[in-house]
Amino acid sequence: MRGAAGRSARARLVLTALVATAALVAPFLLGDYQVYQLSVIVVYIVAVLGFDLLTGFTGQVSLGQGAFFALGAYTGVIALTKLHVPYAATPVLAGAVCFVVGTLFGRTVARLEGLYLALATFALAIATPQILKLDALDAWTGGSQGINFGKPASPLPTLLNDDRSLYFLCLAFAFLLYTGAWNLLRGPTGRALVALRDQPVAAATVGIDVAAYRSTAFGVSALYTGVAGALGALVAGFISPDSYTLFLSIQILVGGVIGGITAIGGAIFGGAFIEIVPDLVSKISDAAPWALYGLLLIVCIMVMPGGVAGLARSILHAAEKSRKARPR
Amino acid sequence: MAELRETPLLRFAGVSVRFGSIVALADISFEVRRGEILGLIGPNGAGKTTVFNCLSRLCAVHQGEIEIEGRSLLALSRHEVSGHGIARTFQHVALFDTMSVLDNVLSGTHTRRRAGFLTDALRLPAVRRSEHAARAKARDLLAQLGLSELEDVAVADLPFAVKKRVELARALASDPKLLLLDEPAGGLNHEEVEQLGDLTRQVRERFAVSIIIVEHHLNFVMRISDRVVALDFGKVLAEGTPAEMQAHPEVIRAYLGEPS
Ligand SMILES: Nc1ncnc2c1ncn2[C@@H]1O[C@H](COP(=O)(O)OP(=O)(O)OP(=O)(O)O)[C@@H](O)[C@H]1O
Ligand SMILES: [Mg+2]
Repeated sequence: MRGAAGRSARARLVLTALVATAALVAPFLLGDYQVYQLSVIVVYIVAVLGFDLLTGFTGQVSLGQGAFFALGAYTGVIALTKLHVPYAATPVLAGAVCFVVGTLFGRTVARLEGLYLALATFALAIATPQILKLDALDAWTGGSQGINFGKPASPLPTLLNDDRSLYFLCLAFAFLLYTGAWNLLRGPTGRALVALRDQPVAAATVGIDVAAYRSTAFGVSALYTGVAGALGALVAGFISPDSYTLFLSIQILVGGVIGGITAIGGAIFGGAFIEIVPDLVSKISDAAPWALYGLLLIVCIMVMPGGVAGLARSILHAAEKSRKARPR
Repeated sequence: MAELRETPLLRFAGVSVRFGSIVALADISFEVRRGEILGLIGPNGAGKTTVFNCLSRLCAVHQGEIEIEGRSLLALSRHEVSGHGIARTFQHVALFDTMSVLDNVLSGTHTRRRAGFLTDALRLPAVRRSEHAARAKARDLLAQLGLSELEDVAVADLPFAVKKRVELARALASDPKLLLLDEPAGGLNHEEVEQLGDLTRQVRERFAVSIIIVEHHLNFVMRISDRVVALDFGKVLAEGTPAEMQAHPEVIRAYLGEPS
């Protein structure tokens, strides 16, 4: 048993090293537009991480992640353009604001479960673009036009061009948040979250304050999503309400499920799926790209019910079994 | 000289619980002393599990008071109960199904630790140390209950009787003063029930806990309990030592008289 745990830890280490190397080297091999796309993938990875923490590990189904993504984006850009906060710090501010709002929202909906919670978060997602367009907020949000502030310039233009410097900013945040999530989930807090997802009554009897953990998990998820939103805004150089429709929330959910919501490594695939697949299908089929997308989704779900991460896990498991079955 | 009476570990005083029109508990009073094993018996629907659910704060108490070491239990919320030294197992098992055996037992230590989102995310040295200590403790518990081999197994894959034992380990992980066992012999054969009796007594000695045990195996309860409380239709039918209970006319009529 120990041996198996050791081997899977080693496999994970090798995989991590590969991904890290690719993430550091790739931007120097790619053109500007592709580097931009890579940044967007990293942004979505962070958003999917937030979704996984909430829905995968804590069992709270959210259809409203797009609302926190938007809140993060607008907080970041308003801080940048009105308050002149250094651009690299705007995701921090966005994360903090989203954490507070998310915790408060989580506290309000703490009693709701399953579909009812999904509905409450759906309400958030559906309301957000229209709230952002309200005339009363025009001075801050730029109304339906949004705000076009231009991509921040690279601080080291000789070393990195603008797109690459933004990419590395995204990567730094993603690295920190990924490591944080990894630590969180393997410690007592992660166990508490999974416990209250699996069996809330028993969780309470072992001393877990179910409502408090649920609302804080909501806040942390909103923090991740908000940081992603702020990074996404920086990478794009503009924000507008129509980028943050319900469809964004659904895409984050899709990324989560495809990657595998109960393994944070899956977020890497999920993030990539969100950015790459819609593009890909429209290249393959002009006439009905979304039909193709839908078909692909169904196939993915049938073939890998646990997402990419679940598939990887069962392959490792099978390999372990055949190793044991082999005569010595 | 006034007699100094030791405060009991647990006191039920006139507790009533209703579910709609069903009276699950009607004016129940009894005490649990330190270090004692109290058997709680009664036919199906007598209210035994409801007694436990009151202690876990899972159901509303309409009347009466429950005290743990002289303090009101009803002032606590669900998650605070384990901090006051009460741990339990469930009649139908309520483990964390997606977790391994070890993680289930580790969850039991939750109440004795300080877990914070930020400190955990940063995995501060204090977190690492406390996690290390918790693991050692959980492994020790598993060893004492003969579960070491199963450490990494997902609990969902275990047979019912083994799940019950994992629940016992999880309960003990919180350093309880009072252990509530709801039908621990479920899924066991005759011989295993005998062994469970010995184990229960060992647990009482080693962990210095008081135990309330709910069981339908009457011989088992009579053998291991110091005192027995018999419930019927939510009322205390009789209370006493196993010997007294076996001689009690009401109890004989309700259980022992029945051909088995
Ligand atoms: N949550 C609930 N809602 C409604 N009725 C309940 C609830 N819990 C218990 N009851 C009722 O309260 C009564 C006592 O139930 P309880 O589960 O305490 O009995 P028990 O003595 O544990 O029985 P068993 O030996 O079958 O486990 C029963 O009539 C039961 O139907
Ligand atoms: Mg019962």
